[in-house]
Amino acid sequence: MAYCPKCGVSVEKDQVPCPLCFTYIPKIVSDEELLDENGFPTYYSLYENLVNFFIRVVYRVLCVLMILGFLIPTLIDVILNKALTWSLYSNLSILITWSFLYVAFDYVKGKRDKIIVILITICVGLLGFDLINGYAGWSVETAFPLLVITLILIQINIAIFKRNRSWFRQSGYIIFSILLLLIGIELIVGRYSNTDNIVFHSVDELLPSTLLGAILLLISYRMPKKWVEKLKRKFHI
Amino acid sequence: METDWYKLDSAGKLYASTVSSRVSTVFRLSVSMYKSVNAVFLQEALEETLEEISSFKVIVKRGVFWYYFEKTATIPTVSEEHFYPCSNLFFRGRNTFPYRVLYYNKKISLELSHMLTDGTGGIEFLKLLVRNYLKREGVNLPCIRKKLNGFNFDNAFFQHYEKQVPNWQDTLDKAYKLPLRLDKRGVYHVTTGKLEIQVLKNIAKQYQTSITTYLLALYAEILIDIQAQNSKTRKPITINVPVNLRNFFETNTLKNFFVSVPVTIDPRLGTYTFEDIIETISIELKRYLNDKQLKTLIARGVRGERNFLLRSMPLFVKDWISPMVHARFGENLYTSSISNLGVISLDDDLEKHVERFEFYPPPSIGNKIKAGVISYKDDMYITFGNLSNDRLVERTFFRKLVKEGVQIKIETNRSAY
Repeated sequence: MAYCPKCGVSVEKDQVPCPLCFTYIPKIVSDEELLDENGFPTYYSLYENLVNFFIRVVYRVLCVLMILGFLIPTLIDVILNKALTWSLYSNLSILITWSFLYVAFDYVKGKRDKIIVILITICVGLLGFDLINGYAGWSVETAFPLLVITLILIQINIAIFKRNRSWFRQSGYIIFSILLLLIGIELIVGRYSNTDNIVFHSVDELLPSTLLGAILLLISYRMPKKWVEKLKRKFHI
Repeated sequence: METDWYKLDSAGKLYASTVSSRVSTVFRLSVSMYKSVNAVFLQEALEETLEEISSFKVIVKRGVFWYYFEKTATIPTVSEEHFYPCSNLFFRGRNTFPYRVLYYNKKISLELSHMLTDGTGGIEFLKLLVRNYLKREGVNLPCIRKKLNGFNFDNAFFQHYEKQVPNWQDTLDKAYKLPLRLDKRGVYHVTTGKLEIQVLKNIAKQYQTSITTYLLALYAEILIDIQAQNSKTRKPITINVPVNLRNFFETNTLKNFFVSVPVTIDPRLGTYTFEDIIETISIELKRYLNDKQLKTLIARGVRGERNFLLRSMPLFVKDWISPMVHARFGENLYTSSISNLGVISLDDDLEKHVERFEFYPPPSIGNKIKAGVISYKDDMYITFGNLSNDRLVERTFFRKLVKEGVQIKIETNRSAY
């Protein structure tokens, strides 16, 4: 009979973890003995099926609404203007929304795949709006670089948070990240609009935010333990 | 004129309105044969059993103020097990049977709502179902018509309620709750430990106590330890022990006839040794388990049900407030529950063909983990029903028993296993 050495109990099956403590149980029981056991069937939750059914119904209703949202503006646009003009914007918006809903309703499995689908949707959407507008180049020259900067900054912040898990310290990094993003926006937008003298409005925010961010980081990294204790003593709740 | 409807009993009325997705009030009684179950024979056996115990041939209907059972000509169909044990029986409308009969391999399972009956009533029905099933399998069995006539479907709470008896007066503090995270809706994990009764009896004898008291003490000790490890504050450990009133009052009812007796150990008063816990539980049980004290518990239940304000509330209001009242004044007062159905005996002719009985306690959101105990032949089956995927309680309980020298075989429906 299969047996867990840690719990000291006999168990039904071998070559699986112990049902009580997860200790791996090696092969002991013969296949005939296993067949003789009554066991349990593969169980399903009564509610899991119901919830999934309800979610599927909601998604289908939304799909029908989006098809209507696709057709009606197109029809009105064609009747009124004899061409597709403003309806192209609404149709592209609906396509982007559809893609987001497809991810949100869990039809795309896996975190990585979800992120990829969302990013592709954003890029296609930005490029699409630019093209509909008669391609002014703002999608490639402005929107994509800004998207990349934002993603890099988010990624860096997540990596730092995973290492430290301190909101106090993270606040400092978030402030610096926002500052970098603001500078990036002004630089990229200024370059795109061919402004000779780029006026950095973010300079106004540079001093207070650098000061605040630096103080937060300094406190979290360099504050002497004695002071930390003093603050704790005064402000403990 | 024969009536074609029944009122629910005092306990059943309370259970009916507390049904929710997490609180199904459904418990399971299983019987395992030595051979695979034949579904056709089982269906025929169920039909014959329902003819013999016609009070089970009912569906649940909504009245204006209470639910009620209506006799029906339809017969429930036996089905293979697919859903987790003790899954909900009722959805809106509630025009369903208050029980279901399932089979899987060699096992026949009867899942009953507490609205209809308690463990004892369920066991009587299951025994008859097994007898009728085995008859079809070719086993020669004598007729038992005489014995069946003794059963009735009366509300025994009313029969044994006495006007002059005061209500049960004890007040209970909010009990310690196990820090368990609920699993998905509809998921119910069961872990059964099979052990020899004689070994447990000998251990209980060493402590000069009964098996039930010993198990309660062991469980209480584990709960005290878990609280000490997981919580800074101390709260009382209260275990709900359902008591079969048929052992104290004369009745042959198949409806509910039990009361919940609270057994409390308060760690705020100091450290308890195992012997202290056994002594405290023995005293608590002795205090409650006599017909005089039990009458006060019956009186409380019956008076609660007869309360004019409660009776005059429309059913939809009762459905709305009952789960909250049950959680606040019922479940919050208990840490967990152990229900012991005792030793199940069958006629010698039947015993040869039946391997074992099992009892799964009903899932409840207030007491995420509950234990059900049943004994048959030389073995005892202790089943933990758990709404969480955490196995701490089961692991600690069975490891403690192993330490005492009991050999245990574990069976579980957990998906990771």
